[in-house]
Amino acid sequence: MQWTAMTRIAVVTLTAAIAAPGGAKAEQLKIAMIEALSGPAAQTGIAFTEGMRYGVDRLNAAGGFNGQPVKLLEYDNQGGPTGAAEKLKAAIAEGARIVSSASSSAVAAQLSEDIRKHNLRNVGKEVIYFNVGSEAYELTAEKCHFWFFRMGTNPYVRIKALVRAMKDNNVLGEKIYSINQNYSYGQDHEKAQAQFVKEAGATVVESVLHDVNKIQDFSPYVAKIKASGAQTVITGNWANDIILLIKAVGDAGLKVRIGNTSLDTPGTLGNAGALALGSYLVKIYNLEAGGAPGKAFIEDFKTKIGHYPYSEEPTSVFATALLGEALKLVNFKGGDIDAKAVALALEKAKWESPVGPWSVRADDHQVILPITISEVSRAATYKVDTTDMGFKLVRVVPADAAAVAPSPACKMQRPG
Amino acid sequence: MRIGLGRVRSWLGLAGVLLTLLPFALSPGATGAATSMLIAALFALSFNLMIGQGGMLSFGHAAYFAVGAFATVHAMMAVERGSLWLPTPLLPLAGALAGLVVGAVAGYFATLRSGVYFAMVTLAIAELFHTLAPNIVGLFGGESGLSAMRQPWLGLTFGSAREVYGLVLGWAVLAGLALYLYTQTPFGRLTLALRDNERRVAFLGFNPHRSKVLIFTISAMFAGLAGGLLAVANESANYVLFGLGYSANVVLHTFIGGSTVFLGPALGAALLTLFGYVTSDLTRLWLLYQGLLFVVVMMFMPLGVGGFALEKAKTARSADVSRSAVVYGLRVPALGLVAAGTVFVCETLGVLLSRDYLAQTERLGKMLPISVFGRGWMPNAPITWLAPLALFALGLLLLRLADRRATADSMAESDR
Repeated sequence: MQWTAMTRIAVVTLTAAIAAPGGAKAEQLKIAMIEALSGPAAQTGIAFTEGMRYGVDRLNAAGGFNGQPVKLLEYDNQGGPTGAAEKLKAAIAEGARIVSSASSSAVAAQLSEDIRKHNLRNVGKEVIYFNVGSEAYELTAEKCHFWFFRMGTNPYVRIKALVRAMKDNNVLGEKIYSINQNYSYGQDHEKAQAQFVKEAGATVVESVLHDVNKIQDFSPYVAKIKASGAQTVITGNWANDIILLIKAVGDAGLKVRIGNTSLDTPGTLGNAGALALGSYLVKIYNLEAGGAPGKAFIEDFKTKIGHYPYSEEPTSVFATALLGEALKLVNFKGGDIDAKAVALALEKAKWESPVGPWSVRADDHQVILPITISEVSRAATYKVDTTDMGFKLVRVVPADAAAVAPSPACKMQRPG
Repeated sequence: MRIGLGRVRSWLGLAGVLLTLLPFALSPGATGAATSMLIAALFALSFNLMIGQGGMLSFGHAAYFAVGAFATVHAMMAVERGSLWLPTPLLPLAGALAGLVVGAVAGYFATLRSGVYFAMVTLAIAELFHTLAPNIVGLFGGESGLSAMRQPWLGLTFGSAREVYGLVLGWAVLAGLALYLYTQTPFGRLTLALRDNERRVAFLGFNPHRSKVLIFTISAMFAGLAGGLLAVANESANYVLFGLGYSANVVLHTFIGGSTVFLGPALGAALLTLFGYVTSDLTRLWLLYQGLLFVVVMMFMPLGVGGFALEKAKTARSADVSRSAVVYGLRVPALGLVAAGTVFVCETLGVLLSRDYLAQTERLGKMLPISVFGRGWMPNAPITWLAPLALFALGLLLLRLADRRATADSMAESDR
């Protein structure tokens, strides 16, 4: 037993020696990206991570932070919340003060709760959760807390902008059909669609929820849409559920306009083909938007990363730019980083994106951002999926017009 | 020569001491990984009661694991609200109870069939949960799942990774011991008989269906306990736990570890969990390597790592030791060389074909060296492809030599 006790003492001493702060050494800001980098969800996870990499490179080109470059640590969540929880522990042990993830809301909920508890248990060593794309509404509603920042949209923001733009362009019609996937994301969409269609003075004639990415033939649903007499179909569907829905609508020869959130996922237009023409898309960014600064951004992104930013990639780029503005408001004089001061600075920061200002609302830490509305068209400048179609910018909805009031369910406890 | 019980006991005692002292030598992140290894090990042991001892291949064992996790989180939430009195260390019992109840019901139906049909029924039951769970928000928390917080008990806060590890270790050892003692009971013997010849068991006057339901229930109870431990460790549960991935992993763990040895599955689960934790941040190709590992183990050690080791330990004689030392002195580095060659090629190709690298090449107009094993390799230099080929060839050569040596040894043995 003596030997083991000795080893223990040796290990403890060694660890203490390594961990001991070597005088007033500046703490390097480390951002941990915990994403799906392997397995079936990797396609999205890698895209989000590329956007993050580009964003952090820009922070470093502008001089880094605290006298050192900002470091991006990348962790593979091994496909789910359990792996993400483990990698969070590793990231915190590695010294990450900002943790980020983007795609899965299941992972986001796990990380958000884990970080809330970590911060309760480790006062003075807090960590910020800087989410750049998970849409589950409850993250800024029932589950909101001071350390969580949603630097992307949620279904309410998107549908509000979409319905408003469609109405202003006179393509909304009187009768709307609402079809969504039957899980929390689709249910949020259904509620948001009901609310904003009503505010626009139109009617949701029928609302339906269906299985997630299991349906091979949407024609029974198309028959219901036809019978309802709707002129517009609004849906939050993604992947196969939007491709097959568009195809079924087109095959039935039904003349309805579709408004959706995920038409720009690679492969969607390629699969849906010409039947998608005329559909509306609501997204944080459109490649045609933003005039000269917008053009400069997408060309720079292309030279660094290898393709124009697509899908949710601009989200992490713009979010890190806003973080850069927040970091300018704090100065730790080359000492330790105080996550609380960074969080408070994020509430005050403002950044001018190519399409308008970005800022964080202090009440629920939802980012307030401009939204772009596009139409699938052959006249678009940038074609996708080797088709002759692309996303033609219809309009930019300014940040204040797209903002949705904070949820009354969010009761944020601010640190004293 | 049989290995004496005394020696097994002293080895197990040593393992126990090491496991107890482990967290004092590890970082919190690594302690978290060790906790996951213990949980996976217990889950694999519970699964092996079905496949290894009962001869029933369940393809949906994650269902009972997940049910246990949810029950434990519900109990934890109730404790947090103050509506239930249950000390934190006893929370996993809620998972065991839920696993038992659900396992009894599911087991009744599943065990009406055997073989492939049994596997299909268990798969269907797990998929049923996986499909239903995200829609029942009250019970399973929707996409973002449920979360709760461990409450302090008897001066222990259960806030640190070390305390959680201790709790999980205690339960895993107790449950492992219980499962081992089960195999020593008359019913444990009957379980083996059912695997070997079900009809004969019926002729002996036992009711096979009733016995199989009981085995299924006990196995599900321990799976539920493992799920409960996961819920305690992560303070959350999410419907993704019902997914096919978790059910498939436990099969993989069990067969790699060896289902014929009692502790084999635990060994396989611990090794593969560690493998995933370590390699997933080193390379995006870790799932490929895990698959290759599985194929190699199944080809050359059909009884799994545990079975292989036990076989060797049983047949080893003191006179053989020096001889097999030579053979393994050749085999181990040979396998290392083959593995290094494979990893070399996979990693080089992985970088060469990645979007980042292609973009970089296009931007700079030339290829940059790819870093593998701490050194840069030019993709167009012959050495980059000849080096791994040489490693691979050398490894195979050494393996041939080792095989020849082993054959010569056994010939000499039979001559005597």
